[in-house]
Amino acid sequence: MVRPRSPLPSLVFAFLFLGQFPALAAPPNEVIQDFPVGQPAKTSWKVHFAHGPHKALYITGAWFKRAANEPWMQVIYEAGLVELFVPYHTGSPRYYDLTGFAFDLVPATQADAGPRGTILDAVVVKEVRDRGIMWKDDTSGRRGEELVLWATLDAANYNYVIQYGFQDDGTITVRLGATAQNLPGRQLEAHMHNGLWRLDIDLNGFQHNSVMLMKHVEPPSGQSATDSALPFNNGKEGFADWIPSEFTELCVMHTQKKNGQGKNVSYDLMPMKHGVARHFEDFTRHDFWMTRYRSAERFYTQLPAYIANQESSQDTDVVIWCPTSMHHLPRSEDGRFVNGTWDGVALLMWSGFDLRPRDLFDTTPLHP
Amino acid sequence: MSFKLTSNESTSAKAIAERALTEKKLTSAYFVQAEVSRDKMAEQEGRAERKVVVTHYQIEGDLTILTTVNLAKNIAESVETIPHLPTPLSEEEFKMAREMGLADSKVKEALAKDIERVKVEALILRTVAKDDPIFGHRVVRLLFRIDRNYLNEPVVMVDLTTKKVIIENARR
Repeated sequence: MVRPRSPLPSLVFAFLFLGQFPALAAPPNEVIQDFPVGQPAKTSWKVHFAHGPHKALYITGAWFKRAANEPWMQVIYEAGLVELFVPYHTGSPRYYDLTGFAFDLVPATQADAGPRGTILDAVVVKEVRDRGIMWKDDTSGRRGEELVLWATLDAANYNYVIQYGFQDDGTITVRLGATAQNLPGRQLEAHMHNGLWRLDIDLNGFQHNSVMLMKHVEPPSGQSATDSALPFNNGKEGFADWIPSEFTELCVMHTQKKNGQGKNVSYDLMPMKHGVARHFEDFTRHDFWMTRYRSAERFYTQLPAYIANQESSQDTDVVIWCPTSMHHLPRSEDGRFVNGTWDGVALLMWSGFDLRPRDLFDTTPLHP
Repeated sequence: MSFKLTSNESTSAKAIAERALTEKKLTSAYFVQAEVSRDKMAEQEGRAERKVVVTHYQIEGDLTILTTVNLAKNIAESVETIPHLPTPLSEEEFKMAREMGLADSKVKEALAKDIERVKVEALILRTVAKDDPIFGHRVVRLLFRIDRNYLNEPVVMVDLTTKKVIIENARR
């Protein structure tokens, strides 16, 4: 048996000869991105990702640096889809597109990646993009940048694009898109695509996180408005609903870490909503769910059971669950029958949410 | 930490889980998947062991069986059963559904000469409505594909619980 050589002598030699330790290879599932691209780093993301059957592409860790000389701060322990629930409007069929079968991720092509993207692990596309204007102040301004990781789930006739964006200002964008071919035999029947997400946000570590429900109240009888941030479900496991007039958001707050202005470091969960889907299934009746972290709790359909004891979930390790829904009302742009065969694909329809920092920085990042 | 199981790990985890299922007399379940299980506290404390959650599915009772296997200790740490949980179709079930579907005389007639060249894909239907005839059943919708085109017909459902093939009319 040949024993593998210890790397220690090589490392010592490299240090003595080169004056530095050689960089150790990053894990294959790790991406580190400094911003601004091609300039001295001001902010940075370190992202770990994975993919697998019944999980598609998911994040297994994300850390942010708000300044080059600061240590990494954890934002995410694990985040991803845990189900894709697709009921058709006649009542049946009702599909579970993520867990229904061992669907693979589609091999990525250079056409997918575009002129500046790269393909990681054969199925994940990495892009570092200009994301448009980030701020303007009269004639001053700056364009923002983001790291994007995306992959495509092949769910038989449908494809789902799962995309995670990590912006230079610390924002994380989470997107789900549905595309490819309408259901054979039911191409013209409306249906709802519900992406069901599990977000284990560990802001600055797994301890000392609390979730607040943020709402805006402006009665039309007066001219003033009030905004509040109260403990989610009175500080216990439970659910809440998105109310459009209240601009409902969640705020995940670290109860101890503060920024330079003395405010608790937080992240806001800001949904992108075209509407709220409600179905017969009880796990679809609410827009936000929160549980304490329990490793065995992985199934969105079991949420009503998970919250039944309403355990206290303030200043602890919390998990947020939420849907992103797309109402698909078939249209000509999806395709048509040609000689009895369906011809055409549904253009991408997107849903998602943002996780945006609140009081992470001391002032405006990347300004002036 | 690698989230991909090696083939040895997968084989070992499956074997350990199936020994545990045998002890519990759950011997008619189909193997669905094995996936890495994370233990956050153990990771934090630097003592994470290689653990795997092995999923089996039993058609009788629409029962999902989750076995947590500790590969470092070569033991099954827990076995949990959950009824009526959306669970992936196993390879064996897919083969059964495909064979039943393709053997049906009406399906054969509908596919005609294409039967030799169709690629069969599967979707699982389920319902939580207890008064729905398919509640608790393992029902598979078969899709038939030639190259990039899905055939509009036949619309075939295979109920693995009742071992029946149901054909519906396509809707336009």
